Amino acid sequence: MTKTAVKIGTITQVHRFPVKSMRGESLSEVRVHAGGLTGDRVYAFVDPAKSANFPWLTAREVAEMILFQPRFNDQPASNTPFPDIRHYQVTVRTPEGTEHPVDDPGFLDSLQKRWKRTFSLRFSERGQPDAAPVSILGLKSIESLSQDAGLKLDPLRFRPNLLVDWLDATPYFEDSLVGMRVQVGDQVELSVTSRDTRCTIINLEPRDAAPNPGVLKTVGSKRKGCVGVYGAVLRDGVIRAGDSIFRL
Amino acid sequence: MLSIKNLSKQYGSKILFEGAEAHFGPRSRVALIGPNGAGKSTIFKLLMDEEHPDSGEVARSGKLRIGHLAQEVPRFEGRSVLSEVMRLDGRREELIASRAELEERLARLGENIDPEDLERYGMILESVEDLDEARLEARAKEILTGMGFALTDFQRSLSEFSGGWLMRVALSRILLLEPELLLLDEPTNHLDLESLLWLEEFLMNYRGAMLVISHDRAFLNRLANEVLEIDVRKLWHYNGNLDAWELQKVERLKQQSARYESQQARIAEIHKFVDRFGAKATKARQAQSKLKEIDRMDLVDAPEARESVRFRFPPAPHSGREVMTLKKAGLSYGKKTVFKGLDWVLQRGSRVAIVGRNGAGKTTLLKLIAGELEATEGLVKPGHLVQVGFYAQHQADKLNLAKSITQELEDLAPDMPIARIRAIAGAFLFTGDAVHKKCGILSGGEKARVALAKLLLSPSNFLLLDEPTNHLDIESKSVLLEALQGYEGTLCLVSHDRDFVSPLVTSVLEIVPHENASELVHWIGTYDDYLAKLEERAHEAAKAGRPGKSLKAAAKQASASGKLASPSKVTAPNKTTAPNQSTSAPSAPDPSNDPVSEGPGPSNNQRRAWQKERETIESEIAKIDRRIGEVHRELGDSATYQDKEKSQKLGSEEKDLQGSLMAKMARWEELENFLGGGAS
Repeated sequence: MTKTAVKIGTITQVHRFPVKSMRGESLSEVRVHAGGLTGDRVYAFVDPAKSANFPWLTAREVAEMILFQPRFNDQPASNTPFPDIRHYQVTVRTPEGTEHPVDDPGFLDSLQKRWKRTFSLRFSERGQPDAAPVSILGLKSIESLSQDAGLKLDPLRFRPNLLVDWLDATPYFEDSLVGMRVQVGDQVELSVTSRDTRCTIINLEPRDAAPNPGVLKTVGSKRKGCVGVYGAVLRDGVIRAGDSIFRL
Repeated sequence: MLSIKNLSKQYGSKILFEGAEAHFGPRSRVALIGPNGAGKSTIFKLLMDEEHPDSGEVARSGKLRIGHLAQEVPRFEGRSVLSEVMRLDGRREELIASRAELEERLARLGENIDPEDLERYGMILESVEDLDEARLEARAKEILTGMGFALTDFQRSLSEFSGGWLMRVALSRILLLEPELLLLDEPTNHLDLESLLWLEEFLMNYRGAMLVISHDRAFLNRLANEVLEIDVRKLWHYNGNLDAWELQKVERLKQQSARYESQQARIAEIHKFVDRFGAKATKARQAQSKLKEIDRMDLVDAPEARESVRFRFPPAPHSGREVMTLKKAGLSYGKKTVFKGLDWVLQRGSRVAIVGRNGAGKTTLLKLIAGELEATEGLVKPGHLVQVGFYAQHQADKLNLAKSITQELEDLAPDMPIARIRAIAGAFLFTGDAVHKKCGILSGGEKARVALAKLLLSPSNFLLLDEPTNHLDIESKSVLLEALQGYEGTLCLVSHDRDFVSPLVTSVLEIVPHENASELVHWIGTYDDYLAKLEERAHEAAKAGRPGKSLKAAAKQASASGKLASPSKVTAPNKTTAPNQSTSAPSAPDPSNDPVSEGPGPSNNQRRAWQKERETIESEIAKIDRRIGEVHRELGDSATYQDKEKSQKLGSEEKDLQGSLMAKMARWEELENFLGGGAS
């Protein structure tokens, strides 16, 4: 670590979303590589009717997607960025409680009928994020936004990879890091590349997918549509809940 | 994704195609080929709904986005390069402006915001996300870099760029848009070799479908897995690339011809029967039945052989051994130095490809050699009796648009009989009333053919061609290639078209730009070897893991280093100029090739004597040449034709003059050899 590194916060939660737009899982530690967190958004549904630049079928179109809970059958090891392919087997639990392998053609067929759309499943061990490999959000930002919106907002509504308690209590402190490099724990180095522009998914309550347009309204009026920041991975390694974050 | 069904289109009395059928899937890679003016660009317009068919329909899937690159240089407003590319199809700016306006309204009205506005805000955010906004700038920069733009160009105003670069901006914008279907009309016309290789790679990895018009066979061969050909008013479909198309077409025409002949034979047989027995009462019924058989036949068209451009360059008049000499030549515009200290001697009969990145000065060098630009320092000297024929890149733009094709040609050769003019126009596919078309209404390809016809009318022994295949169709290009292969003179060629250059040239002259001025590096060897080394070097650079390591970057590196790391074969450096050294050193011919130069050099007195003799002979040759011209004119006079004695006398004189000319030329060449390469 360089002599100028200054501790600026602590990671309180690490989240991974094995299937894009479905519910995430909380981790104690995870390997991070150039494509993001190992296992994050490695599965995604592709809608051929959508634009080639953003081909994903997401909770924007099918709100109940966020109620499906995927889990890895065998947690990908954190000692290698790209574990053996068999570690990527994922089972999805439906809101009704039935479980299915994510790549089971029968399951895909049932989802297509359920959501009345044609789509396919795409796998990529490098992950399939919207904009950048890692998303970071400050706890104080959510508290401030909750006050502005007049309701208690669950941070998972914003689907961050890293939820951080910054030493600086200013809400949206993470915005001030854009253009800087940070170190997470003793290995990983990130470049904070941009603010995270939001879409209508943040209107959905993670617990029951109930929409509340007031959230996007608050984000639009108070934050010009942005909450949290994006990071690119400069040096890979392992990130753990409780790790310190340093500004380089 | 997109289908055309039973489509027909004609302009006036000219039928472009009838009953055209085609289907494009999400990953279709289709080459659209056909003669100039056959209707290829019209197909594009029909697909984009810019024109309507006379019959039939174009069926598109709902949200199909089409990106179209036209042949014409686009008109841009005063944006920067990067902002123009990121403008995409114009919708992005509208979305971003609407988003800002709604955010301002949200902040101002708070709870009182109209719910419809809030819904619209959500939709706008989604639309912006669909544009991949987060990665847009990075992707734009990646594409622009691939297209040959430097980092410092991104913020420069478009008004500072020439047409070729503006075409690259237009192409970059379309590639960034990533439409489901790309319609590309001659996308390689304005690219240098490095950018062309980059574009090939980019398109090979492209996720959508594409329909491409290009005369660059190598480009189409690598990209296409289907071919649509407009031929004889029909749209023919072939599986495979251009090579496969060629084989299948021969087979198709063979089968069509066999079916046609068999059918015609049957028809003739029927007519014969009818003629013979039609009047007989007993057979009349049978004859009528046979005639009905003809009516029922699905008549097979006779295979229609397309008339191709067929021409030969006129015999190249004799020229001196050294066709062009550059001695410490330089060119500057104000403070900007383009070339400095160029030394190069071009020998008669050489066939040289001039290569280099866009902006390296290939066209400028050709203009300098052609005498269209004057060197600001040093010497650019054409050799003895050198007659330059120059085909500039935008030669077609120099046509008088108000004049007809024949008028344009007549202006160049006012004494030439109209029948000959029409024959030349015919050789370039302008037949019948087409020769009276005004140049202003011709397509890009047709204008280029007129410009080439003009070149043919002027005999020359030194051709300078700058991208001559731009706008020529594949067949016309192959005929031009054949004609140039038979050309007896000296040839300097700038072309990004690998298939065209490869069989023509025997050496490569690379312009390597440096910070202050460019340098010339002369490679002896085939163009293919040059390309192979360029790619080899690129892959080495990529393997070495240098950042952004596309072929282009590596090619740049190879180019910048001035050598291609070729140990042995043909890319070994010219004996006169080591590849890794600047040609600012004088490039004298290799003494080992010149027996008279062996041993100690001639004395200064001897050299002066040779120089004097050479001047005298040059003057005598000019006199003989003039007299031969006079004799030819007299011989062509009808009065001389009537006077047998006079015509015999002139014939005899002509023979003597030709003999004398040969002798003088031989001595003159000998003196050139003695003096060759030295300062004169």
